Parts: sequence; C-alpha cells; structure tokens
Amino acid sequence: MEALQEVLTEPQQKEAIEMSGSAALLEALIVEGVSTIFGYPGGAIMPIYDALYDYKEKLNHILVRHEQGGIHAGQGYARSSGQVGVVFATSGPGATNLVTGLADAQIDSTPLVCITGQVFAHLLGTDAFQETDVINITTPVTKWNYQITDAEEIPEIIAKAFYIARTGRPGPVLIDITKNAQIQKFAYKGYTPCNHIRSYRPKPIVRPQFIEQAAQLINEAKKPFILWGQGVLLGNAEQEFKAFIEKAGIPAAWTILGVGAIPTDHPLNVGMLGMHGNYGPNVLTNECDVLIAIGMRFDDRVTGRLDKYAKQAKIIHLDIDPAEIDKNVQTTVAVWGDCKETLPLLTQLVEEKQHTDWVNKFYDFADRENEAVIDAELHPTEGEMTMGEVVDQLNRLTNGDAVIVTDVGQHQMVGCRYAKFNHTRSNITSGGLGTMGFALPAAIGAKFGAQDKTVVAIIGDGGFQMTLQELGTIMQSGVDVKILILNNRFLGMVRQWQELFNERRYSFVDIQSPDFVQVAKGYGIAGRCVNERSELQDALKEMLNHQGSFLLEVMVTKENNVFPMVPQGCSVSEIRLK
Amino acid sequence: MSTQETAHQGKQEFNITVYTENQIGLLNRIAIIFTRRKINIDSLNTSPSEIDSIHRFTIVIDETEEVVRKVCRQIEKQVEVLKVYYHTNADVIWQEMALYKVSAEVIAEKAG
Repeated sequence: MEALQEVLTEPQQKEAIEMSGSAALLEALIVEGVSTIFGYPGGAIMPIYDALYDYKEKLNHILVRHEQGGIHAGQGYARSSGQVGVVFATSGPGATNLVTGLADAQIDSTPLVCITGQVFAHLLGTDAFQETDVINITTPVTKWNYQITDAEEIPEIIAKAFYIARTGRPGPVLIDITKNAQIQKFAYKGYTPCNHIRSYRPKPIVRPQFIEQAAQLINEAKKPFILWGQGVLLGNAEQEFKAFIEKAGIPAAWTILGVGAIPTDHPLNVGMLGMHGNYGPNVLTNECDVLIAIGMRFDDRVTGRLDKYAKQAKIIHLDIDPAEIDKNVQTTVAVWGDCKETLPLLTQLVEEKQHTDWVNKFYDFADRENEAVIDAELHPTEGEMTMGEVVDQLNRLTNGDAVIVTDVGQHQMVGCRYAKFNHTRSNITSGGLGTMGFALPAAIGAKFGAQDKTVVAIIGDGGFQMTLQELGTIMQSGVDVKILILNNRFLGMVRQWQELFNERRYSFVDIQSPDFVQVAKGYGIAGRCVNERSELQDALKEMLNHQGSFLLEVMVTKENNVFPMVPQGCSVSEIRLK
Repeated sequence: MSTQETAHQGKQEFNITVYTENQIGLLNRIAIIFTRRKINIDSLNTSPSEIDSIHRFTIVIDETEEVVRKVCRQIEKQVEVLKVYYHTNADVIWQEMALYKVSAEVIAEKAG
C-alpha cells in the first residue's frame, strides 16, 4: 500500500514538455531506477540510441557482441540484483536473437524489460527491411508484450512493462517500438509508475483456512520434508523461510534455482533435489509423510517418474502462481500466495519441533553418498583432475561468498552440487530451458548487478564456444569476471547419456576447441591453462587475485560421469549411485 | 451432440468462457495455449460482452476435465484476462438458431 500512496501523492507535472518518444523512454527508465542497459544498436532503434547519447551520464549502456549475449546479461543482472534487467535490440534479427533469452527468462521467472526497435508503423506488414513480427514470435515466451506505434503511449506502456515484469511471478516483457514513435515529439507530462492493472492480479488472495489445514498436516506429520525453489528468492522471503523450517524442525532440500536461500551449511539444508541431486532427498521423497513444496514447480527433472513420485505423502504446495498448483503433482492442500506473506502465517501455526531421527536419516544417506560418490569426486589423489575437485578447491578460496554462474551440462550439475553458498542470489544458472552459452554473458550481467561480489563463471568447453564473442564485451566494458572453463574435450552430459543408455555410441560429442587462453589473450584478457593437480590451487588463486577478468582453463578427466543419477523414466527412489 | 457421443478416453466437449480486455494480440496469446498442448479448437468466438469494454471469448474443445482445468488456469494468468470459466454441455443452456433462405415468390403466393 505504501507504493500506492507514493504514486497517488506524487505531484503532477503541471506543464507538459515537448519530448521525443525516445527521450520519454529513457526518462521512464531513470524513474524506474534502471542504471544499466545491455544492448546492441541497429537501424530501427537508432532514434533511441541517438537519445541515449545525451543520457550517457545517467544510464550505463553496455555494448554486447550479440543480442543473445545482451539478454543473458540482462538475466544475470536481474538474478544477482533482484532488479529488472533491461535490454535494447533492433528490429528483425536483433529481435529474433532475443528469443532464446526470453524463453529462458520466461521458464526461470526472471524479470526483464526488453525494448526492440521496429520499422515505421506505415511499413508494418510489408516485409520491410529488417521487419519481423516480433510480437507474434515472442508471445509464447513473454509474460506480456506490446507494440507501440505512437509516442504518446510510451510513458504508460513502459510503466506497465516494469510493473508486470517485477510483480507476482516475475517474467520477461517485450516492448516493440516503431521508429516513427521513437522520433515523434509529443507533450510529455511526466512519468507515473504503474501499480494496478484491472485484469492482472499479481498475487492471489491468501486464504487463512488453507494455511490452517497446512499447519495441521505439518503438526501431525512424523516425517515432513520441504522442497524449496526460486520462489523463496523471488519473494525475498529467505528470512521467513528460515524461521519456518527452524521452528518446525523440518529437513529441506532445494532446486538448483532455489539454492542459497539458506546457507549450504545450515543443519536443516539436506541438499539438492532431482536427476543429479543428493541421494537422501531423492530416496526420502518416497518415504516422507508430508511433502511441503515452497515456490517450486515440480519440474520433471526434479520429480522423475510422476506416477511413482511421493505417492505415500500428503502434498502441501505454496505458490504465487495458481497455474502451478496441481499442474504436475496433485496437492492435498494448496496455499496460494506470495510466500513472503504465507510463510509467516504458517510459522505462527506450526508447533515447535525437532524431527531428530528423521533428519538423521538424511545425514545417513549423505554419509553413504559421500562414501560412494563424493569423496572420490572431490578428493582424488591420482589420475586426471575431476570437475568436483576444482569446485571444491574454489570453495576453499571463496568461502562460499562468490556468485557462481554456471552454463549447462555436467559442469553445471557438479557446480550446483558442490559449490558452497552462504548468500542468496549467488547461484545463477539456466535451469528450466537449459541454455548452453548462458554463463559467460550472464556472468557479465551478474557482476554489474552485484559489483561488490566476486563473480565466477564455471563453463564447459562446449557452452563457452556458443557465446565466446562476449569476451569482447568484457574487454570493452572492463567488467571483472572470472572465467573457469572445465574442459573435458567432450559434450560431457550427452556423452554420459550415450555411455549409459546408448551403448557408448558417441555420436558427435567429441568437440574440438581452440586454445582458450590464446583466444582470451586476443581480447586482452589474462589466462592460464592447467593440466596438473599440483598447479590447481595456485592457478585458482591467481585467477581470483588477478585485477580484472581472468580465464582459467582446467583440463579435467574426459569420461567422468555425474552421479548420483535418476535415469529418465525412473522414480526418484531408483536413483543410481554408479 | 450429447456429452456421451463425444466422450472418448475421458474426453468430452467443454465450453470455455474467457472475459478479457479488448487488446490486439490477445487472441493469439490465448490460442497458443491450446496449440502448445496440441489441442484442436472446435469453435472460437470473440465479441464484446454484456459489460462495457470487456470482451468475451467462447471456446469449445474436446478434452479431459483435468487438461481443461490446467489450460484455464494458464489462460487466466495472462495479464489481460479477467476471468475464465469452463462448463460441459450439460452445464449450459443451449440455444440453437437457424437461418432459412426462403424464396420471396413462395411468401408472395401464400400472402396472396
């Protein structure tokens, strides 16, 4: 309600100022608190870039090397800062290059406002140069999109865009602005942020009877188990979440987008869910009596085979998005609402308890996993280096305080499993879409969003080659990003599946790479490559202590598999340790 | 057509009513929620509703209730959608209208 008061009492600007649509857009961004824009100019967005020339002091524009890099940087910025990421691109190919990032942001609920230039309104539908129907192309992968053809619309639409992107379940918004609207002068009467749209309810109404029912189930439970996801982070509800699990004494496991809400070392943090998650959380999902899902959406990589998923348990699902309730897993009690509001209500009603024997069961499984998998992965004494030991050595140097950005594949699973997190918003990865090439540009954005943090991008040799042009962005912007390439000379995750399920028929997974250190050198970025275990710690120290960006390539064992693993089509309790 | 006639694999005809703002592009945004799940739209009508400035979509599909419920929630979360309801044929009152083309000469003869 405070926001509403603020807006209503904001003095209306009495006299209108004549202003171009482009300038009005930039004014709007400033009022919205935007400081950094990731973008790439082109013909149809030139008037906006011309206006930007006069706003260089107020708006920091980062010139990327490809629009996909721009949008992933915007995502990284949004994820590390909690603010809306802003991206500029031109029409046609500029706009279509945003599509992968939009899909990624949509599935991972990342707030973005993307501005695309468009051909003059009178040319729409004529196959004009660099015209593409960006509104229709992006409809399935945006929370909302809109085409502006008249400058008068700009203040109101940009206000709606930010409001929609950041409220409720966040998501990407795309605003397409025709060139005539960018140039057009109109009577600008000031900018009023939006705080209400008639047809849009960001948060469902919290219904106390469902909180009471949920609390009753929790209080009666002998073996309750919590699964939490990014909703806890997006709702800024980390403290509320911690208070809830500590009072109720319930073990809690995370999705890869939820990690960091409580520190890795918290005694009730029992680890990672899903296909490559920890042993205990997967097996005990099928043993708990009440399963409490908070701000997560039961992705198939978390649940495995649905008809054998937690069938013995009563399910409580807390989510801000009603469409997620009963989508994949049928709930016993659904608690609709923002977990920032619902968790404290639930905490009030749950009894203070300690499920010591039940929690110990998770620890027992952790011991078995340590023996069977983790010790060998993190502390090998001979042979080639493993991905896990690199992450473990990194933990020792960063103490879990760094922002870790991962790409997609084996290194991502290893990174999420073994990286230590003391802080929220410090694991940034492409979870839902699984976008290779995400990490390098996302790390650039993450650093702009968290300037005081060390940002380490852990990337495979395959994914790095998908967006390595963004080394140019690092060079020109001077952003300090540590790049850690775990090179196994394979597209490792696909190779792992081919080994396990396709009789080692290694079909097009043997990828060659350039000399990454030389490539970095070409961009003026310092680098080093290590082959020997004895050099690893020194090399990691050199990377972290280096002033500015640094690329460290670590040659790791070629044919290592990530375990545990829930094979596709299997139940979570059929998780394999080898 | 009765509900029984179309029922197969638990599917039946559902009438989905969507109340929305009148917005360019919303038709596509709603339609792709069906096409994404490979659901054929048997009938779709959009027009102003009895409430000023609010539009109504009436969509008919043949599906299971479980899928219809999920689809309706996904429609309802679209920014410009106010409310979504779904009903089986048995739930709603049907009115059928027919338009006949009659030769003017026949009418003239009878009148005469």
